[in-house]
Amino acid sequence: MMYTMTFRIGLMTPTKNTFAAIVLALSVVCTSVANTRADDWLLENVTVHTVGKAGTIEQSSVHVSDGKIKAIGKDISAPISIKKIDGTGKHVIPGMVGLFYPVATGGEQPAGETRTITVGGRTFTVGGGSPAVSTSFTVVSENVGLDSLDWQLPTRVGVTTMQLIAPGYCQTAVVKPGSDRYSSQWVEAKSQLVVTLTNSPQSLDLLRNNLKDPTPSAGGPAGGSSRSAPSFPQRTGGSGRGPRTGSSGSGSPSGSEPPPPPASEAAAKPPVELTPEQKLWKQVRDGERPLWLNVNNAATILYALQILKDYPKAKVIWIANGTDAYQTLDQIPKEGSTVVLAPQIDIVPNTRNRMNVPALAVNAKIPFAFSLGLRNAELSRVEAAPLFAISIISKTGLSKQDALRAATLGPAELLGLQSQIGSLEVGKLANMVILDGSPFETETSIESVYVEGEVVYEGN
Amino acid sequence: MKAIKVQKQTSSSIMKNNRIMAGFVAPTSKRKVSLAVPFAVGCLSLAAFIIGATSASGQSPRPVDPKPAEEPIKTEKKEGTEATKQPSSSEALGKTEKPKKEVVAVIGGDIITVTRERIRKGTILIEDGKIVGLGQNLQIPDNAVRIDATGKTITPGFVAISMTGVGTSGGQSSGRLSDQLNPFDRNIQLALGVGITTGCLQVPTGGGFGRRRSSNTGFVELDRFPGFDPDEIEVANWISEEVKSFGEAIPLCPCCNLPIIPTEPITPTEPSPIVPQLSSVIKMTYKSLDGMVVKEKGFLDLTPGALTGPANQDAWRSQIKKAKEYLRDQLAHEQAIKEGRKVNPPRKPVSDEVILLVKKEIALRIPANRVSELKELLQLSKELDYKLVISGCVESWVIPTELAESGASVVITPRTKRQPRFGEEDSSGSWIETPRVLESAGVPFAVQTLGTAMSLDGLAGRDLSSLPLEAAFAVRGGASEAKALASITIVPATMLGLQDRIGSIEVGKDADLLILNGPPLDYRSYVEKAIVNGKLVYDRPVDKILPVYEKN
Repeated sequence: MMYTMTFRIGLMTPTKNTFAAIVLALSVVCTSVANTRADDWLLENVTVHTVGKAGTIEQSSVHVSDGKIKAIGKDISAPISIKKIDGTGKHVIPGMVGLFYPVATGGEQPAGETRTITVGGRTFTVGGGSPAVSTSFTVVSENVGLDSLDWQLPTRVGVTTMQLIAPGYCQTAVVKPGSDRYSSQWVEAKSQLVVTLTNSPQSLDLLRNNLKDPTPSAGGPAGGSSRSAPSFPQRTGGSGRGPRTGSSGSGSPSGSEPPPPPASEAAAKPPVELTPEQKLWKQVRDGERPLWLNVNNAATILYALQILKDYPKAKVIWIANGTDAYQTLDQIPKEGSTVVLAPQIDIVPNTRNRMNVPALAVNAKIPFAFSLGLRNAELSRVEAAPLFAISIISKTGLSKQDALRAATLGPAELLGLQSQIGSLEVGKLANMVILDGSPFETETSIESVYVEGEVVYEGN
Repeated sequence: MKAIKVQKQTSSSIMKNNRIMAGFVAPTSKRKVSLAVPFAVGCLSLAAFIIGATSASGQSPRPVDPKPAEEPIKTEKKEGTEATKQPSSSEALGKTEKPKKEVVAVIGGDIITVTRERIRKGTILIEDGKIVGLGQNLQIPDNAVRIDATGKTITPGFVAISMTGVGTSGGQSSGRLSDQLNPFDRNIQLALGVGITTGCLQVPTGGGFGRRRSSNTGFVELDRFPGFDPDEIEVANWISEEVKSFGEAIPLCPCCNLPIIPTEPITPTEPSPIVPQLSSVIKMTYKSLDGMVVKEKGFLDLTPGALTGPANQDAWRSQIKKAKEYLRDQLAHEQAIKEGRKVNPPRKPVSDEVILLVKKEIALRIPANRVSELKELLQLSKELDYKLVISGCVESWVIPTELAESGASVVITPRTKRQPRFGEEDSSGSWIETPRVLESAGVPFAVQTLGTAMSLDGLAGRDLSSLPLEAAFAVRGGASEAKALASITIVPATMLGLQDRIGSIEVGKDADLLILNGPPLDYRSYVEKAIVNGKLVYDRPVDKILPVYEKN
């Protein structure tokens, strides 16, 4: 009765949120957290799961200063006047990193067997099952407005960094949610190269054509591993580029194409200028940038492995569902590949037996990370919440360290952001999730979520 | 008095209390039980689930469904210099010190080679996916992985001459088949379970090179012939799947949607547009893409009626003529290039399939049943000189000599039952003894199943999984067992032009073997193990597709 009344008050007077919170007087933490806008604060007597070298520290303190972690440990010196938050009985983990946060870009025509997901109350359809996979290149940050999406759902389940993926073939963007939708920012506007792949000629040709070196004679370092392409001599360079850039759509402005030089000047001519898209693929060939493959089924993994045989330097990150990964675990090379899995228990195909694919990946020594929201992106359901999934998955065979790491530091490394996020260590950003219990227990709930020292979500 | 009354009262009250107590306790205990049971079950199931998951994940990388392709069961390494190593997994195979190729020895089985004599208690040596040794007293290399087949029957893997929906991801799509395979398809396991190791897969295509038109007028457009104008592809899938499979429109059961097998006399085939159906030969390389595509084009497949009527036949003649001219031009062109002259290469006037047909690299396959139609097809093939395979062939028993003389092969379904036409009782309709007639006339026949897909996980009875059973019905029709076995091994392999690779057990051929626990055409026999390209791809106790118990 009391609760509903105050809740109603809270609804009626949204500007007086703090007042309502005081009326509720739920906890000291809550109120103090609500007021925490200061640059410096100290979290005391808390169990810290650093995910870094220090491991788990009980009865510890975390000193946050200017959005970063200034000090962490049992006895740390802090100014006396510093704002203190009591964390007795609480646990703190690094903010989680969501690797697969699907967004729909304009003009998307999903067809066939696609996954429909709901994010922030909107329904998005993610391609992947359709044989007619879109082959046009999308740069997510150019197609999705930062304020057009609502980050409330991911932040309230403890995800503080998200990689936005568009269906088909795209360059992803990494976003950092703020306390409201207008304060979110790009961490990296042009991040990873993702291709959604199915076992269809069109889709596989996209991979084949793009992996091929467009400049076989000019590209010195790239040419080593890739197959020689005798069918593209310099003379026909202009027309030869047609099918390649044709598949790229918006990524390649046709006007910038240099005039094909005569064959006699081949030695003196400047190297063919690569489009931004081609540069990405060159980096993939050279192993400087991982290639993310969102694979539709196990057969597609085999096809991709067959294609990638010619490019031994290329590193691949497989976004796969558990069953497909399970079927191909023995064929995925241990070096140069990472499997991105949903944190869930899967069913062995054609049986009723259940299996823990992440644990199997650990046994097979294949690096893996969790894709929070690959399947259950409607993060409103309890079972879909990453913490619940992690607790279940760590109770059924995966070690706790591996489970927590796969949701935090592991994905951060895949995004190349491990120096800033992913673990609670001195100098890193203060992206933290404060829990009312161990992160490996299903009944634990989130008390508050911080992004760079600022609260973006508080539970009640 | 009072006291007694009181006494009585108390006793009755006690009684009452007792009764109440009793009445109270019993339901609670009942309720407790009724509550406790699901709770306990729930606990048990949860515990079982967790234990299962833990053991699944904790102990071994593949707990429940061991991979047969990797781990040959009952493989023993010869104890010798390397006896210290326990070859428990494929890792041990790869670790052999010498850089020798992987050698597998299948030992002790009765080998039915199909093309040669039977070998009792023989050994088959497999290296690099090929058979390298065959005989009774073979030297088995030390590093060989041994598969014990003592007391078992070994036959070549069966070849399904027509097969749909196995090894692909399903759905209609166009383009190369080699990019659309799915080696994890459940139907591959089911096919292996009945012994099919190779199949001619009808490729699902969105359409053909034909134009929608009314067939009952008999009007057939001539310029829309296979591959004539590939840019202008129009959907011509008005020919239903049933027509493609059975050669005629077959009614489907309204309740289960399965085809109602017709028994009425065969009606003449209407001329139909020439819509080539693509087919490719694939192997059941379960869980692996390597070596899955055997032949991209298995047949030049035409729908029934495509060569019926003078208009169609004229078009067909001109196609073949053009293809022959093209080949001649090509030869001339090559000659000119050799001599150093600059000549433009000839333009390809017909589709690749027709050229391959003229080169005799593939055969023409077309369904036909009536004697008159068979004769027409034989006449055409004689005139135009190509390999011909007629499927269906219900009335082939009427003209065995003509079939034998023409050199055509036939594909039959021995269990077909069609009534004779009125007035032609002696020369029409089906006959159970067709296999015997064909065999004695020397007509090579292959056996195909009524349904070419795996339906209901192989439970439907006359689907693809009944292939060995269908061949057994050829024996019932008077064919010898050897010919019946050949009808699902070497004969279809020869039709596909793959007689040098598959269809029999011979040195140099692909190691596609079945280890059966009984005669291959006995319906009680099970395929124990299936080996494709030298790799164990099916193991009955492990894959658990078919019952695992031992028969007495």
